[in-house]
Amino acid sequence: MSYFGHVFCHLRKDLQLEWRSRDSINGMLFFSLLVVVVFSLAFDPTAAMSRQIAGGILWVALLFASITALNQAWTREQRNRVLDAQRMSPSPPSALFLGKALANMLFVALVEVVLAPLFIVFYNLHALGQGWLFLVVMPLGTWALVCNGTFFAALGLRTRNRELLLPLILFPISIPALLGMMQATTAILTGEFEPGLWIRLLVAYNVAFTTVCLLLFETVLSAE
Amino acid sequence: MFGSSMEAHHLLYVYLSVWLIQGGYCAWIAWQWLRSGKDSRSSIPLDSETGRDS
Amino acid sequence: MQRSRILGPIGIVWLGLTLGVIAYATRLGLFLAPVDALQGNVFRIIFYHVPHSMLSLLFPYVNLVASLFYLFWRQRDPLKSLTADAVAIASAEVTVVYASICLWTGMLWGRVEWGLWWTWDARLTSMLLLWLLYVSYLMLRKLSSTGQTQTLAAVLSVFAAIDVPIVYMSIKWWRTQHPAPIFFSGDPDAKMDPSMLPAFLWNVLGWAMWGIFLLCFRYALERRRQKREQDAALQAIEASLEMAQ
Repeated sequence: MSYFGHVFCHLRKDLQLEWRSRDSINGMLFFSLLVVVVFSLAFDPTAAMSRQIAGGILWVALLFASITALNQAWTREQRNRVLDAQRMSPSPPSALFLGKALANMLFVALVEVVLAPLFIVFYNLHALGQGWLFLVVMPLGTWALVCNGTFFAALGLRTRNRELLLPLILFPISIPALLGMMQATTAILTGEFEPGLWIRLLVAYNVAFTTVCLLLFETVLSAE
Repeated sequence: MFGSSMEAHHLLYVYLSVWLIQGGYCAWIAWQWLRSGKDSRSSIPLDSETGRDS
Repeated sequence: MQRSRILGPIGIVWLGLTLGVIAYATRLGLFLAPVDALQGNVFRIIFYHVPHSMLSLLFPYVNLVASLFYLFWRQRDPLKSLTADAVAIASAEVTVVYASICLWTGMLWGRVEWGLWWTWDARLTSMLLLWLLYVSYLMLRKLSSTGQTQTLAAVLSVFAAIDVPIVYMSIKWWRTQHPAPIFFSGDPDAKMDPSMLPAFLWNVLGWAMWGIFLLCFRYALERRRQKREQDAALQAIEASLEMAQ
């Protein structure tokens, strides 16, 4: 089987398992909604101001929502010693990682698709810049969070306080990407400055860290 | 020495705090060193029995 | 144990030299360097602040190199990999100490100069993020289960090292696009008045020597702990063998 065949296999497995219980997705959706409502109460934005802050709020909501999903991204591999079976299988470890990261990406993307109209409604948003750039920024930003998040969730597999550790190590590393996503979104919404620089930053970040994640996953999987 | 202005106070705080932080860290290492020397031959409980799922 | 008999005295001599250099440098900074025309005496803070910030950018690379060696030797020569790991944790802790001092002295300077404890200017923010990265490294080491700690920490260290330049550039761009008052105008050591240079350079040397001393001391402590763990593990194995008989 080719490398991408393995990746697709892992991806399908995760999607099927998640579809049966739909725990993750429901949790994420509701959590994001709650975060949006809480922030609205905190800031009570007027139309002019809402464009300045909506970008930041959106990505914070998605960040917290993806943490809730990522925390149990690997738990199903831990039950019944599935992880040992994965280690012994002939599939390359990075394929396991990539499949799982892509699955998480799809889940978070689903949440975004539901969340975006809500955002537009709650904040009366109307992009003053080039709205189509959202189709570029959203996937890039989501991948930055999900790729590193899946990797670090695997790092914390056997630690005590696993759920606490993930945000502690994910947030500092992700700060440049978060800055990029938020700035790019704000640029598109307000039209006050160019998002190009931030999009290029996101691309560079994603390329660098996806490479590192793929190269180092095997080390993490066999870290005994 | 430099007068009792706010600037002089802050200058003093800076120098003192640097010595405190650096000295404190060094003292911590020294304390750990002495502690590890003392019970290097005593039996130490291993934590190889932490609960593992897989 | 012959090595430690030589290293002990060398360590003491190095410590003595270091303290001497720091004392001399402090004296130069506090008394002999001329008063700055604009800022008065408070500028003397830079003689401690800038060397610490320069050095706090150096130790992360030591951590990176040590982590890479650890990952390289992990399968090939486990005993050597332990020494690399000891260097890694020592340099991470020293990084956090130096970065903390840089942030704290920077805040004190800002308080006097500008009346502000903090401002999200490029250099302060980058330093804060560096500090966060290495504190998260130390947290990972603390919270992960034994046996895995070293490998996971080495992996995180690679991530952190790749992140440092990205952080630096992104914060700089952020501040270029959304300008805010610049806390530390320009590069103090680039535009420094030549008469201040001796004090400054002696301080850099002194704190670099101190940093090396801390690194070696912490390394020695970690090696001691590693040996203790190995002894304990050996005792446990021997005990279980005896019981089996």
